[in-house]
Amino acid sequence: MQPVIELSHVRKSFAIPGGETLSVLDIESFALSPGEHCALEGQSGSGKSTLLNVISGIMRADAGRVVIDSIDLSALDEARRDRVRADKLGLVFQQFNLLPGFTALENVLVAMTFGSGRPDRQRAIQLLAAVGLHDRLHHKPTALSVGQQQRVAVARALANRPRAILADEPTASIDSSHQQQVIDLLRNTCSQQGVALLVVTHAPEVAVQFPRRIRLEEFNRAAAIAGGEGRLQ
Amino acid sequence: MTLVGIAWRNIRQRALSSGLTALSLALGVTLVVATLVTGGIVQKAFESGSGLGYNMIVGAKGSPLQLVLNSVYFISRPIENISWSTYQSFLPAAERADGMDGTFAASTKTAVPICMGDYFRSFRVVGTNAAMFDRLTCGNGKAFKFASGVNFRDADFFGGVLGVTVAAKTGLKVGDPFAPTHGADDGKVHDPFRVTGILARTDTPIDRGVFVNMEGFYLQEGHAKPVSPQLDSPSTSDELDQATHSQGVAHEHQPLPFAQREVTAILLETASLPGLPAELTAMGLQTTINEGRDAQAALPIGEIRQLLDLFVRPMELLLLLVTTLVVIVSAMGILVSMVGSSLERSRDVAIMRALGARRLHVLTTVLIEAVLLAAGGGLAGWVLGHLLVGAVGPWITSNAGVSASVLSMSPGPEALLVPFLVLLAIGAAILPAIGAYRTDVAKWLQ
Repeated sequence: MQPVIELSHVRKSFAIPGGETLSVLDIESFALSPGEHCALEGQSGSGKSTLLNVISGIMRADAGRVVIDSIDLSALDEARRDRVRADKLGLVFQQFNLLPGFTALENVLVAMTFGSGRPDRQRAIQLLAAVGLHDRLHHKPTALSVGQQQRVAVARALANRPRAILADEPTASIDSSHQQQVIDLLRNTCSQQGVALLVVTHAPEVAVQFPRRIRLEEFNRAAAIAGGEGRLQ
Repeated sequence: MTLVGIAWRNIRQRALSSGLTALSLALGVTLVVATLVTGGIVQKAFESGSGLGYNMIVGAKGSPLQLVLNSVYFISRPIENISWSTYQSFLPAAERADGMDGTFAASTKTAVPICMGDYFRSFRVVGTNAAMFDRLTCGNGKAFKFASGVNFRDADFFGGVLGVTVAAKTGLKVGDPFAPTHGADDGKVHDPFRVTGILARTDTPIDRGVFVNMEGFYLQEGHAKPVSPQLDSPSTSDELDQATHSQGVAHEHQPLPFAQREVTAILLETASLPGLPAELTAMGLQTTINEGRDAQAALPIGEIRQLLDLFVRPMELLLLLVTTLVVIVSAMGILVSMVGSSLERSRDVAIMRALGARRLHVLTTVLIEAVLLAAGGGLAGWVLGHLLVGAVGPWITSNAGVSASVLSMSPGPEALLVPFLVLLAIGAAILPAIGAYRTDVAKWLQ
């Protein structure tokens, strides 16, 4: 079966003051199958966020191939990478990153605006109902609890029927009593929708709940060599 | 959801700063619209008076502009009077007692005398004859219409006709008596006239006039020209003429002898001479009259055009320039508002980019925000400007004799105002839009 996400020989580094470059990613290969749930575990500075940015096409890898649902992002310009991100991937952030001026329903509809399909109000309502927010459709983020905000973020990530959801530290900003709810929500919703799930986290208690658990340092040579702080070149 | 919907929600999210920006735009546009419409009304007021069915005014020597302003617009004071014989020189044989054409009769289609100097309350009283409303027109060839009653007859010495504004302001109706005052409105009260008709609205200075039969006007105290005793004799040729002129008119009052008559001005509609259009006849007649010593001839259209070109249009241009600067400064408010909110905007832009928005999407959204603010503020200002004109409309109508209402439009630039503002706003929003376009997504999502 063709992987949803496939990385090979991916490298990414940044220029730092002094004319040196800091290598953050050096990944030989990685693949995520359709419907697979995987946790990438790594310490702060191990390149977790950079990896998600490269996979989602927000950043371009310096070298190597990033393939999303058989589309090689490395060969695409920024606008086309944006389109692939809108259509194929859903993103869930640590801070939820809901648009503050928009209601829960509008936050989902905004995501639909940038996909290939037409914004579907009925589907947006169904997604919010599926995460238990049928009675919070017209509430703005400030009127929602932290848990409810994270539910909106999950519904929004599913707006364009993505092949995979990328979640960046989805439990880092919430108290321990709600962490399990968020993980259950993500896993259950992705299972119901048949969507692959890639969660990056620094919390072992989160990573341990996933059928596939990878320590970032094990396959990101840049992180391994630099002990989690990247590798100076 | 469309990009317009996203832009609208962004505006609502920053309701206070967006509202203040739109308000400042609206006030600027209100000022411009009020200036443009008022300028248009002033212009219309002057132009309406220059097309009242006559193309020349003959009056005493002096300023031709003063002659026009006084005779047509009832503003400024009369220069002096001219003789009755000057008026007679424009009449054809059929209208003269001596049965001979006047000197200028061939060049004249209609000659209507007017006598001024009296007031009824604050309105000018004009002594004239029935030809004023029977033979002249109220512009564009349209005959005068009466809202009620009829024109006075020449035989009805104390009949009078009111302009629509006068009737509305004084409450006078057909059949009501009214007594003009001599000179200023606090002067000696004359014998009363009776209203025979009230004119329909003409949107010209006529609406502000009180028109009375000049025969009755002449009989008022102080209106007869003092003459030497021998001229006062009924045996003079003038008196003989008048006896013939008044044949068949049985009246309790005796008309004032011609020798004691003067007129303030004569409203002339020139005739077309064989091979010469009326305009050229007018120019030739004007030259001939002005070369004489008794009177001057002025062409109202030419005088008004000069007045507009010399004073009104430059003033309008200056006001327009100032108000346009106000609008430009208001449009800069959009730039200030958007730059001020750029920090807050950067995070939202980063979120939208992460959701798949292209750079062009965010650039377009920012520009749409500016367009919505400018169009909203501009349209609100346009409506406010017209409401303002509508609010002062009754005052303008009663003072300028031109209808001014919410629906009064200015020709030309007004229609371009909101599009111009939208273009300005787009120009002002380009910088913040480029800022949004360049937002570093990864940095703002951390």
